[in-house]
Amino acid sequence: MATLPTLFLESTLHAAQEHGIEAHTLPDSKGLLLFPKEVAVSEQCSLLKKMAADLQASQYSQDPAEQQPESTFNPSGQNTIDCQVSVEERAQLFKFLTG
Amino acid sequence: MSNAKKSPPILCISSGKGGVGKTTFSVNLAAALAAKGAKILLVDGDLGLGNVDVVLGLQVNHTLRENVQEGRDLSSILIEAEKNLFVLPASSGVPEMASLSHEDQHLLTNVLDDIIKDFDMVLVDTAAGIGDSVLWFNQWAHDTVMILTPDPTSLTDGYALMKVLASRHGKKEFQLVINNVKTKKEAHTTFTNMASVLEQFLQVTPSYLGPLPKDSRVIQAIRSQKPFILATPDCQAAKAIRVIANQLFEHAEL
Repeated sequence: MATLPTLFLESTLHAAQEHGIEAHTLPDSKGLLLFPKEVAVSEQCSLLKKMAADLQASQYSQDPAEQQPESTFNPSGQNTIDCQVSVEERAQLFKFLTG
Repeated sequence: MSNAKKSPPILCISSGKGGVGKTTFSVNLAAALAAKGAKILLVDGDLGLGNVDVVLGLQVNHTLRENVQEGRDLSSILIEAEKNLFVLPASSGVPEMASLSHEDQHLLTNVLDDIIKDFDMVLVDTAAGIGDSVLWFNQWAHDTVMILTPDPTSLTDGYALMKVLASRHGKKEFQLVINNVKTKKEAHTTFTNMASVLEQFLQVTPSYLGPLPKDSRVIQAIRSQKPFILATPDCQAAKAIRVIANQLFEHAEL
């Protein structure tokens, strides 16, 4: 189980209840969703997907205190730029070694 | 000399190719700067296969691993290797450290940003290659020193690393050191050729930090786990390192 930010946990539990899923809060910022045993797994998955879609569409704002600072590091940089050393570059690098 | 409360200059020492003398250079440059009175922090950026402690013959009880994985305070990991020279050692044989998550990288640089304020200059000895840790240490640093030798593999790998840093990360300033040369002319020719290729293909104009001569006493010092600048201060390599240290010392206005 993952520990969720407070507002996100509340949103999730609220969305679950809206879809008829029993929801409980647990200690340490965790939540528990319970499905009746007669609900098939496929229907459980379907309900969870609808719940996730609703959460995504909602306008809940994140608690500023829980916002993670945007990382300024991007070790891979702009991935689309091809940095492979070309044949021409190599030839120029080595020419003084043989000349 | 005052302790810097703002961020001191951070110099990243890389090469692309392994085995060209990065760690030996980093350690001896750090020792030379420390001998001039600057308070130097040397970070072993080869996080999974650290060697700085080996070159210095240090007894290491804790490494950067304990900070990343256990939250151990960096000040308790710091080792005073020589007067004015402090080392943050890396672990050896820990692959996970060589491939930290973005979050761990971010956390590590945050704690480094805090500890470096007590120093006059910071040197980072990066790993070989163009892996994540090499790239993000170079992003974190203010300047990059590239160690090259006049061999095709070193030139190719060094150029490739600079190409990645320039093309993907916008780094346009590099200071080149040409190591393991028989003559100053050989070093200068190597630098001039590399500079020409960098300008032609990457629109990068590097600066020349200087040559380091091939010197048998360097190997002896490495095997005895002592910086050659301390073990044999009159050898050619030690003199060359001091010239480079003087340039950096003046440039940093220490």
